[in-house]
Amino acid sequence: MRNDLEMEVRPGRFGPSVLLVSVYLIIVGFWLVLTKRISAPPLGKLLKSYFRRRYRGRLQAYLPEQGKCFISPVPSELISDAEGTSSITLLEDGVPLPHGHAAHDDIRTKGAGRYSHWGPQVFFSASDNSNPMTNRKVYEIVEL
Amino acid sequence: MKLSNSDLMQNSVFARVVDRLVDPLTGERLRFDHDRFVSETSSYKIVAGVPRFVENDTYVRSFSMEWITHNRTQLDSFRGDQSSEDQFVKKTGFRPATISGKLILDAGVGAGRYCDVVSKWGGDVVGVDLSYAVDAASMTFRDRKNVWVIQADIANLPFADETFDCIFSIGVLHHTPDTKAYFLKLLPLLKKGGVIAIWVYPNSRDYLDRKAWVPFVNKIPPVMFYKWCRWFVPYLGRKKDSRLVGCIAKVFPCSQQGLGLENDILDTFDGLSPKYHGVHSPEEVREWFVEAGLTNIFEPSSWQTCMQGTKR
Repeated sequence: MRNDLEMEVRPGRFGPSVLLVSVYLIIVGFWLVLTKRISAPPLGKLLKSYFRRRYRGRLQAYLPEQGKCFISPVPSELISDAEGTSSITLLEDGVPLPHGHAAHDDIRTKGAGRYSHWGPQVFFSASDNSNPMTNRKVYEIVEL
Repeated sequence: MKLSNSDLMQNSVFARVVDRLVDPLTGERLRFDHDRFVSETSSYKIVAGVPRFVENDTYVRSFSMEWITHNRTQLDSFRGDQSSEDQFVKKTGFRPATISGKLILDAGVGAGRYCDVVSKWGGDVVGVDLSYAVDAASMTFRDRKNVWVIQADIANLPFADETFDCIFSIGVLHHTPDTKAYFLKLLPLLKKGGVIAIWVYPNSRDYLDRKAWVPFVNKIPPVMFYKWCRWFVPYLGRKKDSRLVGCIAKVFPCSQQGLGLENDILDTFDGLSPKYHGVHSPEEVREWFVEAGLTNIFEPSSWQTCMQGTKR
């Protein structure tokens, strides 16, 4: 079936029309960020994240939050899910925990390695729902 | 291959609703006259086996384009999985036992993603859409006698009151000029004791961000924006470890549903190109159901802003 409304389905190529749309969307994107009409990170933070080294560091202090959830501070220059989309992965003994960007209620009730980077903290649960303060496992965050 | 009008006569859904058809403008009884439906005052053509109760696709041209192009991308029958069926159950709460043998209205059929599920479950489905997606759906379901597709505006449907046992509308009403008003227009068509289920865009961050983008993106000619999506979405996938792409992804709402590249291209286009993009809170949707006098109102799943209710 084909008629005048059907569009070409083939690998996209970077041609003049794609360039024109890209320029237009970049301008619109800047304007939406500057006027805070979208929940993107502040422009300065976004640009800094482009130029600085990717962060990798061990979580140092854990505090119990609720249920299976614990919290730990992370550097505030990292863009979190509260202001955009976090790019961090949480490792447990070097292995990535399975569920990033999890709902906080799910971390509290289901646990099982769910975590969320929210503001200057990471809300997380151990993969086996043990207590990170006593389970002797090492937790690290890596910015992708 | 085009559908002929004789195909229409063999359709079991058509046989079931033919006596319930009314002129959408005047409410007069409609009569089937071989290549059209006629009332005392109007006449509605059947083109390629699809009755046309509107002149054109008015404000939904982007949907005409996307569903004719992606007529199979989201249909379980072609994908070979159950992704649409799973979504259908979560968003409507309907099960095969609720649907089998019933007369169902799919308000906003598109390419027929959920119509596919309901017809396999044994429901008799009328699929309605304002866009030319009806041509894609009609071709897809040409061999299913329990599916009948028409092109019409869901605010002015050509059916008598209390025609349908169940009505569902998933991801459609927020693309109309007034989500609540269009929802309320569906209710007279439901039989007493019938069930209606809808899902509309929630007012969560993702959808609010898209709402900010839509008035700018929908000014781009759909063909140009679609070409851009075909280039950008695969590029984003290939370069996901790049810093620049990471920054762009934090600003531009690009779809990544885990249902394949074609689905992500389709969904990125779908989410940003429509003329109307309403967002609503679960409380607001519940209030519409209460105001409409529906009973047994509940959210079938934790998927925000899905709601089911029963007509008294």
